[in-house]
Amino acid sequence: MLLVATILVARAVAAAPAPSEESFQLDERVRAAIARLERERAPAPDPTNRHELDPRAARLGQRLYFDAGLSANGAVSCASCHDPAQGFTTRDALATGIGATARNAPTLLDVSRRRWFGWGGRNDTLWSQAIVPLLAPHEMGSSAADLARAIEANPALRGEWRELHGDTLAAGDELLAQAGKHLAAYQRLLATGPSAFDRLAAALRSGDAQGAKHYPLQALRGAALFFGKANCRSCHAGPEFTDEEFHDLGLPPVRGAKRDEGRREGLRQLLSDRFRADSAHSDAREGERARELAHLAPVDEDWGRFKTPSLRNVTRTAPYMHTGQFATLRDVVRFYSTLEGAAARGHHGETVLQPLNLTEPEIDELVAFLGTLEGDLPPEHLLRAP
Amino acid sequence: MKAGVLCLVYLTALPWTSAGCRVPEGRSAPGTTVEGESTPRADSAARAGAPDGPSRAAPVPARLAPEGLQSVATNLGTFRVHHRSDPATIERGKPFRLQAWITREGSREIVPWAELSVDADMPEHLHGMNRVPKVTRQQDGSFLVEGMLFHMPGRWDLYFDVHEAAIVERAQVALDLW
Repeated sequence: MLLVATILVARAVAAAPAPSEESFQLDERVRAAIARLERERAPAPDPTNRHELDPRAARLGQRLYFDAGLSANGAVSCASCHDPAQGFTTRDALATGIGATARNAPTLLDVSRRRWFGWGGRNDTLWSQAIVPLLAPHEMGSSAADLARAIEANPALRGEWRELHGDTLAAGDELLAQAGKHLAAYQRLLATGPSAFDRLAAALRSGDAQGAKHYPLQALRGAALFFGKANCRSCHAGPEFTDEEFHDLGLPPVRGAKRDEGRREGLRQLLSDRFRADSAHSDAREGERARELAHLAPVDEDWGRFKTPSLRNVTRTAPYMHTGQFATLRDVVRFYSTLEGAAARGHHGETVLQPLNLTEPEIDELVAFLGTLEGDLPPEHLLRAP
Repeated sequence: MKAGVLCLVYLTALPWTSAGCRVPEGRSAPGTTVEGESTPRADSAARAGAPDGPSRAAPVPARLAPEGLQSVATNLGTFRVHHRSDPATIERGKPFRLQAWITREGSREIVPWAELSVDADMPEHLHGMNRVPKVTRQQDGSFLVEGMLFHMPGRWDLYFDVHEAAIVERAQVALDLW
């Protein structure tokens, strides 16, 4: 009798509809949040760089990008740390140029959509950022004079430079600014295409229920967490999945290293940068970016703040954080779940981060969601030297 | 209300002017940013006041705050701040400006000697803006607030601190941004 009852109960359970994957629905608030994330088709132009949209400048920039001859030891190019085959970053936790650096190399995919450049935002334009690694002793260790020699020594480079700037090669900061603007013109082309998430958002906007069904269910659950309980969008906001600003996560420094100042140092460098948006080398000295500089000032809270990275294409850019201390996206999500190892922030610190206490399936769902932010890479001809 | 933004929508487009005025020498409050100077404050708010003119002895003719603006009383009820933004809808991550007029509660006459400082923060995050706004008094008696940007979604509290002699009263507006 007991056996029969057990069998009957077991059959009943087997026949009952399990919590169905198919029945999962986003709540209205999350659905609306996703639907409104429509990406601008192209990044806004940067008027501080008059060469930005010139294909000849972009080609010249591409040539510079892959030229190790620009570095002091002849062995390091921009592509060494921002490798097209590795999502325009490297798998190294800390980037290594001529010497070791203290930070992870950020990806250059979609970089021209950023408001600030570098983990501490030390540059306000892409072209001025491109000059930094050229000169940094541990990166390419070059100089304007080295750059001029490298251009003269390379007939293709010299010819294209002449075509844009005439027979006389500029010198000093003017030459560096030209190089930075060409590199930025190339990097503007490193744009990625629409992702599975963009297709979901478009389907929700247009009421295309069938189109929305193509989105993976595990990722959909992850989206519900991202825009709901986990509230990741608080910092990873908008269609670029970044608020373009700076936050302190309390990440401890790499063992043995001093604490990285982050935005504090970045702002100090920006405000004294001779290539900033209102400098003599800018092509829009009184434009919006230049005017914004007047509203920046260091505050104590800048200590240890780092730029919120975009989450687009994040699956391509491991390892993660400004020191590359998390090898996988699971590690990152797990950190936000527990905040284990996070240093206590001062009593002036922001309180946006609280442990999310995610379950293992929820961590998988968030990782699955992040995977749907991957768009098509730029065309093949941009992934190598011209 | 524009899709994608849950926030305060200002009613009137701004006929912005760049006209400013000089603070009489020695009257700049700490952190005051006045047209012609370029050093912003290192703390959170910016402040400006003091109308054009050779001294306090020259009274400014009574001027009225425009009608039809958003307005909010200071917390002790002495003043009312009439304000509008440019663009009219404040969006997360987009720079905006404010124009504000200060009157006494129950009056439309602009308070001639009032000064204004402006700041904002996210009370749920314990942080504010990453920008230092610049406030300059305009010739029509209003204040122009430049350099505002709310970078995160969520609740923002916008503060108008009205200074008159030793009195400081705060008016505050809550906004919820996507």
